[in-house]
Parts: sequence; C-alpha cells; structure tokens
Amino acid sequence: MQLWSIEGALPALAVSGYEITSEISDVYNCIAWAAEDDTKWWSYPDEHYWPEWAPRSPEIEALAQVFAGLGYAVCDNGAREPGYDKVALYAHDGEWQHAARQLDDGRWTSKLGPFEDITHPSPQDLTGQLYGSVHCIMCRPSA
Amino acid sequence: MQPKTRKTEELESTFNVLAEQWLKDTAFHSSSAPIVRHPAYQQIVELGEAVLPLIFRELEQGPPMRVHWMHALRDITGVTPVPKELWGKVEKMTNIWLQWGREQGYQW
Repeated sequence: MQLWSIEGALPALAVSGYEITSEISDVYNCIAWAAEDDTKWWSYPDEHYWPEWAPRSPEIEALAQVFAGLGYAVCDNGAREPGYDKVALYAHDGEWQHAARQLDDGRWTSKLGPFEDITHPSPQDLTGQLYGSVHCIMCRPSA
Repeated sequence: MQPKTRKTEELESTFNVLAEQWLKDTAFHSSSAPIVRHPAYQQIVELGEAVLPLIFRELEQGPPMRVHWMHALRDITGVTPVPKELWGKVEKMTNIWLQWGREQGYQW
C-alpha cells in the first residue's frame, strides 16, 4: 500500500483533475505558497515562521489576519477577475487547514503539506475530510 | 553501535507502528493542530526521551516529514534550540536539531 496518495487524501481531485507542478519539498507549506514564499514553513507554533502582525493561533481568524496583512480583504467569490490576486482559506471546526492561490489563468495552485504543488480548477476541489471547507475567498489588487 | 536488547527492539517496533499511522493520517497537513492532536502522535510523545534517538534518525533521513518530526522533538524535550531569526527555515532547523541531539549525547 502506498503510504501517501494525493487522490486518496483528496478524492475530489480524481474527478476535477489536477496537475503536479513541482518536486516534493518540505521546505515550504501551503500557507507560504499562497503568500508566494517558497523558502519557509508558515505555521503558528514556536520555531515556525508566522508574520508578526497576526496572532500565533490555529484559529481561522488568525490566518485571515495573515493575509489581511499582505493586503487581502474578503471578497465574494473565486471567479477570475483581471487585476486582482485571490486566495482561498480552508477551515475545519474553526481551525485553518489549508490555503490556495489563484493563478493568472483562473486555475488555482496549492502546496500539499510537505509534498508537491498542484494546479486544480477550483477551490472546491480540495474540500472534504482533510482540509474541511472553503472558509472565505480573499482578494487584493495585483501589484 | 551497541547490539539491540529485546526492550529496545520492542520500543522500536512500537514506535514504527505509531509513526506509520501518524504520518499516513497527517502527511498532507500544513497546520500543526491536526498533526499534534493525532492519537498516535500523542502516544509517541508519551514514550518520552527513549524514542529521541529514533526521531533523530528519522529526521536525519531528510524530506519530506522533517517538520512533523521536529514537532515531536519540541514536545518531548520541551526545548526550542532554533534561534528566532531561523524559524521556518527547515534545512537550518534540521541541522540545529541534529547538532543539539549530538551535543546532548544521543546516538542514532
């Protein structure tokens, strides 16, 4: 039995389709990747990177503050809007689980924990037991 | 390397079973909460200092589960040897933890 299977962990991807876009790396995680940083592991415990403007907490509100500090604000939906960057924040029982970032072509990119980056058609493709549901979409004007 | 005693073999066997279950269930997580809340992780931590050499051995093997293993090192030892300016830098964190383990006299 394969110990780690993307489609086993995230079965909706088998239906939606996805593309692996990187090698395996445990140097950065999904939060870092959504924040366009591929050099650090972002999480709330000691010894992990966490922006100083947000509380070190597993609560989804803390993650929303991380992205608010990067210029994002909650917006209506994940449809592609030229001139705007978007991220999707995932939560389960009030705790953040994952973040994904929209690409210029409207698809989304996600880092799967310490494994690969993937592209997938929509934020909904990663909802389920592992990452919970999409708590909110946040957007900011593109640089 | 010293020969393994039966007690050491039993500990290693228990550790391997727990580690496989823990990593299988939490491998794709980025958030620390589900990683450290897992029952198998809690049992690994309860095994205490005796499993530190096994954890250092896993950590030294490299990616992809180094961040997972460093959670366990922090929770068992209660120390945070990584200076704040290097928090989140996984390669450097790994090297510091392995160096810390050697300095404490652990062998793996």
